[in-house]
Amino acid sequence: MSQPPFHILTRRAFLDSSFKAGLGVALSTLLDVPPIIQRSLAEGTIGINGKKVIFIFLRGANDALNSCIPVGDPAYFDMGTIASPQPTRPDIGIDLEPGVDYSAKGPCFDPTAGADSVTARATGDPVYLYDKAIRLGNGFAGLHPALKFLAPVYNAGHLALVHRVAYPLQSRSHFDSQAFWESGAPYSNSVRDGLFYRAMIESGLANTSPFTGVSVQQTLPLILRGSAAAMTNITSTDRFSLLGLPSLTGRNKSADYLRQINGLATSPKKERELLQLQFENLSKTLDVFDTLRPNFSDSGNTFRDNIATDGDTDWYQANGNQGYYLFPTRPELNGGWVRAGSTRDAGKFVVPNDSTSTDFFNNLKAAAILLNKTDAIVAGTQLDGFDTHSGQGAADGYQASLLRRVGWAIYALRKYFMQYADRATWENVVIVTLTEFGRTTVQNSNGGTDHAEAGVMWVAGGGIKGFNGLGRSGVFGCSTADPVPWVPGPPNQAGGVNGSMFGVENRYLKRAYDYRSVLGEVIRKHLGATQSQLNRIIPGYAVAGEHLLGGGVSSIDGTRIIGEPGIL
Amino acid sequence: MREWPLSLRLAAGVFLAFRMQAAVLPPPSIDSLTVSNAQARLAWTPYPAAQGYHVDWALTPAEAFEEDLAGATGTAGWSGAGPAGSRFYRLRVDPMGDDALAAVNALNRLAFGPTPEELERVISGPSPIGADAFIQEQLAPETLVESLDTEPPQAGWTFVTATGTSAGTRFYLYLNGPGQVFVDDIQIVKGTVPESGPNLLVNGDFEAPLAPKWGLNVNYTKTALSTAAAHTGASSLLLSGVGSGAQGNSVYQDFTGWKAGDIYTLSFWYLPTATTNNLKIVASLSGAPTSVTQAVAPALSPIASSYNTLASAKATVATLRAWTILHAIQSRRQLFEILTQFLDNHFVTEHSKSVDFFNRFYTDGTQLDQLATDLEFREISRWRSLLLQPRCTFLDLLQASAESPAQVLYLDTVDSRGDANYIANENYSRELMELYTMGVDNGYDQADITTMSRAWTGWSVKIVDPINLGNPFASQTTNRLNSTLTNNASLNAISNLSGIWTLAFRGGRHNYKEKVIFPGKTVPARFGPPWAGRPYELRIPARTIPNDGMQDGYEIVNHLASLPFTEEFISVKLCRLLVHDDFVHGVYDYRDPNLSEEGKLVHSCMLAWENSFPKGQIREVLKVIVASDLFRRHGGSLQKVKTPLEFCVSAIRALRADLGHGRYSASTDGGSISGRDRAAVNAPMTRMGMMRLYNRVEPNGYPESAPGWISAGTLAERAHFIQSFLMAPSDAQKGDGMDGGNKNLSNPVALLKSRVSATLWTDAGGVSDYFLGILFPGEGRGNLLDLRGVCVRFLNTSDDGKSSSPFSALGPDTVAYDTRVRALVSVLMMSPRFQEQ
Repeated sequence: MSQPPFHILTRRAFLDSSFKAGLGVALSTLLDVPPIIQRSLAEGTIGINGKKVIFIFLRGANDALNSCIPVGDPAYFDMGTIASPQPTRPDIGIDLEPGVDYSAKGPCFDPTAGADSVTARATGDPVYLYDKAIRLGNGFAGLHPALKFLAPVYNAGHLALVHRVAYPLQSRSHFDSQAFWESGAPYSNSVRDGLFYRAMIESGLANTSPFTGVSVQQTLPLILRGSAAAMTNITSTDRFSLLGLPSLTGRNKSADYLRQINGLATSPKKERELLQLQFENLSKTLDVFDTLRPNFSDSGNTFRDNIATDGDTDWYQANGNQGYYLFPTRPELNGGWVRAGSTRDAGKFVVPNDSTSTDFFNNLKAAAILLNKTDAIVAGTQLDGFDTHSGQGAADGYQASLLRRVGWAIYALRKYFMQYADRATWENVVIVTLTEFGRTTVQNSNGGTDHAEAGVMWVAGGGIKGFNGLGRSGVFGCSTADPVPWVPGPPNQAGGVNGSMFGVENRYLKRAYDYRSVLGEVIRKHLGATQSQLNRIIPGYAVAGEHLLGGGVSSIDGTRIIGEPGIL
Repeated sequence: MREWPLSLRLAAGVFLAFRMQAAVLPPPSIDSLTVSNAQARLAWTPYPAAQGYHVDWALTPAEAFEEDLAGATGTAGWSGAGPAGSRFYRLRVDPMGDDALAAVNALNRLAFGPTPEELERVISGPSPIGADAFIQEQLAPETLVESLDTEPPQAGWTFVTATGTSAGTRFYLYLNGPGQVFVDDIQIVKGTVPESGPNLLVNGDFEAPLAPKWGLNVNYTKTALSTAAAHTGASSLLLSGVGSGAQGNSVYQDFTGWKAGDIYTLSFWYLPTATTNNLKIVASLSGAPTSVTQAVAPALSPIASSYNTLASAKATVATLRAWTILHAIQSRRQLFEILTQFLDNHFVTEHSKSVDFFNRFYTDGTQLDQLATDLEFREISRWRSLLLQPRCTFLDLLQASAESPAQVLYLDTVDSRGDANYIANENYSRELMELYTMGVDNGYDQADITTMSRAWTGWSVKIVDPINLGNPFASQTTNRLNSTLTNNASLNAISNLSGIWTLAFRGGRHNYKEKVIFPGKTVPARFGPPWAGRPYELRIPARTIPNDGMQDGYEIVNHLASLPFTEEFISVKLCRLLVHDDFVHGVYDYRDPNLSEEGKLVHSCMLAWENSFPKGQIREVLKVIVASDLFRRHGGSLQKVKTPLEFCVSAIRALRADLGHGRYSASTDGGSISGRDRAAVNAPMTRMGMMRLYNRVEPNGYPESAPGWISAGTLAERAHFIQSFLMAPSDAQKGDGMDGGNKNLSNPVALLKSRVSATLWTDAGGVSDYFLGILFPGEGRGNLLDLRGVCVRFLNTSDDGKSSSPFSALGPDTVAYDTRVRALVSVLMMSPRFQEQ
């Protein structure tokens, strides 16, 4: 008995209550029609306008105050009084460069631009070992020195830092909050799937293209999970294959029979549809992966920077103008590692030399290549370990080691899509980082920080409205001039005023942006969703009182937010 | 056979449905009927655990229905000759018996999946014990004799065997060095079953002079017959080597009837002598495609020797993981092993975090690994001894976790301070309520976390004299490893102390003020009686005596363990473990008469918890779950996906039967599943989603539900694991990148031949039936009809998947036959069904 080609999907669409709520009966019929008609029925331009997104989830909650540092807020340094000083972060605070005016406007100080071109600091150590807050140039904010590679991206106008990002009734549970970020619907019982998954469904391509949303990590993240179509998660590009039995000669037979068995009817089982979808996805993607696989080989990792990275001019010229490698998947590719003998200096490694780096950059490279070589619209990975309850470190140390990877990742992705663009050019790519919340303003007894409220997001891309020297600073939410201004100072000031860093329960950084406004702006303006599609992808957009688009006072918790930041 | 008055369908397509009495499951129904070209086709949704489907017909509903025996019935449909006129059809199902269904569910939930022998013992053998007896024994592990950790060394004659092809006619036997071993009853037989069929060697029993058949090379000229020992008969071979041997320097014989590509099984018995220290016997066939290297008289079984290193605090985490895997596969106390992992995953700790802590004092990587592993092993050992107590309570288990040094390190309590102006670390207090007891958003808020965090200040760890293990007030040990060091820093360093790391209370760091946790809070109405409205404020008094400060923590643990929120959350987690994933906490209204089956089960668990004395006995809660319809019938059956641990362990178990002489049809060294070093980079469990036991980074533990594990990438890894496990040892890809080779071994043909009569060995249907039966016992034979058809087609297709190659034409002793069967089993175990439990 022949079965209609989408029989599984039809049934599933009916079962998917969250989706039904958005699309009504239309979807179930939509999935029964052939692919071309299906696409023409979809609204918007997601997936056909060439725009793509890379996401990096910083799991564990990155400490925003030590990433994009409010150097213009005296309470970052001391929350007490002159008579009775009380250092806010005595062990983990980032120091300022003496003699530098952080209130000056203009381009960001760029420690990677080479020692002689630098005027923003006093002389001393080599610039590549810079260990003070990097002057950002909006007159208020600074960057953690471990993020120095963001400086050139910022000065090119391709970077937005969005500070004070959270959501109403912020959960301080990692697992709740990560789920909320990924589902795009805090505290919703009806929305159980991921927001990029829903964006891919809205593209109308999710069931026809082998790759639409892709992650490269250990498990498929919630942000790409859903029941009407399978997004792809690849754990290892090297091993994405079947062995066959006997190996090699039996490979086709194994794949063929696995496909047949996956199509057989079974009694109702709770997890069967997930399994069937993912097996189907495995079959479809394995078919195309045989031709893709050579792109991922480690020997093919020849992507290098095209300038004297980190001001490393002497090495650059001595080596045929070849820059550092963009994806340090081996120690030999890690920046200054290539400098032999006495000129090798750990400070010149672009990222810490360990398996965390090599694993992360392997995944990031695969995600970038998938985006560049296939129809994939969204690709992403994650970096773990940001839960710095103890031993967080300051300019150097644990969090710094993580931030170095983030900074280099954004720098490297920009270079990759600029120099090696195939199907994804830098103008068409947006990189966005996510993290579930920020951390306590005041350090704890272990030189660490606990779970708190607002955090920071980085958004980068050729189309980002970043710094331009003409009034745009690229820094959003970290200035006293913001539409919802950053209020400097300690808690309990005159008139009952709390500084922004103590704006919630006298302890936590208060939000000025909702993360959904940031992602929403990217999904609508960049990926090409219509407003009505966005209302389904991020249901909060359809709720007037949330003010995610234009800003206002949240009807949920009474906090004033700015709405979409205007990064695109 | 159970017969329902089922749904009917008129040939013209009019649907009639008879109302049913309320039942656990609605009756089966026909989804569609089509008639074309004189063919009628019925389609239905497969019914859970259907053993068979029957289609009956009648001309009018009032007439007696008659079974159709001419048409073709599958898992989801029937086709037969179309009726001349209008006709009514009825679908009947043979359900699986209640006891069989409950037994299969129990083998999937209270055990790491069935083994062929367990299926026979519990369900299908000549005198099965049935579901309840199995459940009872698993609930009371102390009644099951289990000695895996103390198994004595093998004594007497030991049997050795290997299976494979040969490149020529010669058999070789030698030692890896000088020494003597008795060897007897050497056999080479065709096929995969040792000592079955004619021996292709002459005088393998060494009852006749060695010459002329046996040849002796130069290092073995002292080898001779001996009557000092014999496995059978009057004499054996005293294999005597003066140096190490090789194929060209051995005791050898050319055997008869060799053919390229045929499979042979060689076997022999040996008895150690006084000179066999560190000696290995090697037996092999020409070209060595078949070879076995046997360490003579291993002192202990692999599990027992792992246990000894663990017990002496000298084990690495790789050893602990392998020990865990081997217990999971082999232990009779299956639920006990499952609950151990449940607890370790519920009260998460992380080996690496302990390593980071010890790295403050020690530098040697192996030592760091061992110290951290010892904390993990002591932690699970405490839970294991508690679980053997029939009246073990949740409080006992929670307290063991709170007192575990690994826990104190993991969530940063170790350095937390509440004295002076210090801000206490919130990490442990938050996760203690969110993850270990009450459940997120279930009866506490941020103020409770902050207040509670002060109570835990001072809980730390210390290295003490072994006699002070568990004494939190003991002083640091003063015993030095090396008291002659001249460098004072080295002499006084903690790394120079000899002792054991244990929980310590550092009173100077404690916050001694009064603490009011859950101030003014009462249990919400949704809990209903007896809980609703109860106040649950916890007032911890200010302390004046330094060591009394530690009492804060114990009062908290005591209080949390009996809160209804905790009863609910832990019951939910146990139901998710044992029934299915769709149980939630913080939502059910227990007063609602229309509460879901799931909510009702949680409520029953909570009542059992509340009403047991002492309160919170885990076994009382488990009894409620295993007695429920959700557990015993279809509600939970096959509704969960296996975690990587469950998947790997259940795969070995599914094919593991005792073939005699200490041989099993499936085995592993453990490390081939969980890794051979701390990072375990290439281990299957790591590759299937970073499941590294005892090293979960996030405090929420490894996921129990499917979406956390299932993606194209991880399914590809599950396929790799199965294929390499089913590959013959000679397959070039067998290792699959695993460090140190892949020791996951299987011999499905030997299993088949030990269980199925020879007449069925080359019968594609018979072979399919056997493997479908042991791999998917909960499905019901009716639901395997379509799959059986695919299996038969698979067996009758050549390895390239294209040309026809009748299975019946393959000799059951050939490599081609062995490969065909291995490949079939591998595809079945890669498929969605084997992911489910």
